[in-house]
Amino acid sequence: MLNLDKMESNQRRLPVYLLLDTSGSMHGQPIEALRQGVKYLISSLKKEPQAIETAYLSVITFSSTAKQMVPLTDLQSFREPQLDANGTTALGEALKILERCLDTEVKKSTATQKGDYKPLVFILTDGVPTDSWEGPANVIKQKAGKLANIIAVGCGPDVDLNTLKKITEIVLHMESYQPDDFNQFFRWVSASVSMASQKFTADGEKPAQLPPPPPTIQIVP
Amino acid sequence: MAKARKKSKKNLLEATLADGSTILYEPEILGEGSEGIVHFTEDKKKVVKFYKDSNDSKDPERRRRIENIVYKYNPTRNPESGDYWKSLYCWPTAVVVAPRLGVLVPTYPAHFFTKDGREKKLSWFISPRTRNLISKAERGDWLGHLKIAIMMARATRRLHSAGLAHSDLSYNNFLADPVIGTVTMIDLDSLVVPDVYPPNVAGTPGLIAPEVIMGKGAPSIRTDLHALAVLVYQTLLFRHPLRGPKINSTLSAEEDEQLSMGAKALFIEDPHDQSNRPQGTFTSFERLGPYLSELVTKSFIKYLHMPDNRPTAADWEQALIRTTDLIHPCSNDRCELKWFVYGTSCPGCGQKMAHHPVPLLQFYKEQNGKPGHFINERRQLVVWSGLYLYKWHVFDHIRAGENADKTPQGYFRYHEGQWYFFNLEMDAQLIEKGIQKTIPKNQSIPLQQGQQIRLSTERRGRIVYVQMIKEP
Repeated sequence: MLNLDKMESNQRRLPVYLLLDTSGSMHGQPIEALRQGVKYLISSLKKEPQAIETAYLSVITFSSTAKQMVPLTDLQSFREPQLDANGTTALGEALKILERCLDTEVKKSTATQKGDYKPLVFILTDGVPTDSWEGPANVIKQKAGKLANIIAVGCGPDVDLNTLKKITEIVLHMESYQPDDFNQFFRWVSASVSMASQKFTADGEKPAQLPPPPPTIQIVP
Repeated sequence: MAKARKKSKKNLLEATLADGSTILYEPEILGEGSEGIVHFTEDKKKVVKFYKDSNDSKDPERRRRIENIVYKYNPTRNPESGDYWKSLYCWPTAVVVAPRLGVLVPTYPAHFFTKDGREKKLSWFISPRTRNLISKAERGDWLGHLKIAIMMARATRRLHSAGLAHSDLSYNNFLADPVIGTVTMIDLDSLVVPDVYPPNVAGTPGLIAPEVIMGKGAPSIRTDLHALAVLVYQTLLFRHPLRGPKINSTLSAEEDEQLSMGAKALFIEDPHDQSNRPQGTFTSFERLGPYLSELVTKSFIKYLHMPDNRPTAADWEQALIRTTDLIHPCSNDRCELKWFVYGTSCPGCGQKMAHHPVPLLQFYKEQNGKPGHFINERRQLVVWSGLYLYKWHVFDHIRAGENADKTPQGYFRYHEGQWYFFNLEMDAQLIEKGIQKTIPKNQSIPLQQGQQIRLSTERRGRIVYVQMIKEP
């Protein structure tokens, strides 16, 4: 019955975007922890058949400029990007790229096409944006919740959580950023993606159900 | 966990069980789900699962519920049949009360892990895409899939017969080994006892019954039966019965999914409405043979939106077991599925049936109160070389099941162009031209068109009528 391979698949995709801060302040241990984190995320999701079937992953990095390092890719074909820390924090530009990706990469529901599930977006930053970010943040905020589930995570003492609140309602604060904190963060991202690939919320307006974050990460009200 | 007392040796932590005894567990987190965090115990033969929301605000009845599941409703504690059920369930063995509420659960047996350490969730095996990511040696064949389906139905039937509903039967809550052909049901601590404890999960997408998605019903034994039907269909045919191309909402993927699995759910193979039929070629469900076709028709065509009429787990178990009487090995050595329900060609590789005739045995049983009168049961046995006969074939009142006697009673061989029937344990007779001739134990007879064999002269012993089929 393997001639079923010839049948079209009607499996929907769950797009997952990681927006990662690779500015100079991430130099040293933090950037290494980020590399390990992405590696861990991929290997743990590859153990989940449901995630393999549905999750597609993209990485956008931002330092002095922003760049989509990996376009939306299925887990099997995903190759880890080269992450290096230097420069400033072009968060605004990263948000513009995200907006473009949500527009072009994510399949819309139409009368003839099964659309993608609502994308999951994780934004990780440790600083204050250095470019003009208010405009792009405003555009993204309009989409947050309705067109994408956007989770912003500020780490360290220098992050400006008010900035993040202008991007999305769901803001988390990771006080310390020791390697173990990143490990816990990526474990939570992995659990969130597998949960979202298994338990979507039926109401399109509501945010996805995510597991509670680890104790080291506080929800910013 | 902060309250847990640290043991100096290996940094193990201590947990207290409901009976007051203590166990040691490893501080490292082994895994994390939506509900709990899991640690190995000291000897790694069990795991401790601690619930995340320790204040119980979400589920105030939890402690009473898990105590009932662990102690009162636990089929693995039955002194006679417990050991059998232990292989089909990873049933929690104790309630943990400190440092916080949790359960103690046996570790999954080693054959439910791939060589590279992945849990063999059923999901891996039922989609061509993920099945290809499992090594060939661990994929098993179609007979293994049929056995998996039988075991799933049996495990579900046993729960239901105790009045329990699983409430989240899914590809993630069965671990499967298609090489051996067995499963084990996991995550049993969220079982639903109808009318006593309300369910705390809606289920897994793709397996939630339409009426639950529509908000017209809560998870129950009836909704388990929808999930079981989907799981069996997908295990045998490698595709989802309702996930087709039909679009029911352009507003969002989530709303479309909700309608496609709920109010507008439509079988991809519905004969009257082809709007959800996938592009491309695929094997019709009718190739699963008459017993399963009937149940698939009931589950997804006739009664998809009539939950009270769904086939029961016992119906599925019997139909699946009977279907093992209809399978035939593929003559193509390189065929991956190796087995199929008897028909013109193998759906796995397209190989035509072998040229030599195949014996087909029609079952007849003695009519109640009319000795010597036999009626056609409309049941068949397709013979292949190496097939064994068991007591549930020989007698019409014996059911194949967990308690059945698995001693072979006879077998069949194909040798140099001739089929033979070997008697091992039966009090069997060959009936030719009205003359009854004993077939002695450990002796064989050549099979021929038109023969009648009384498999046992004892009460309820069947007669089989031999047909030699050239083309199905």
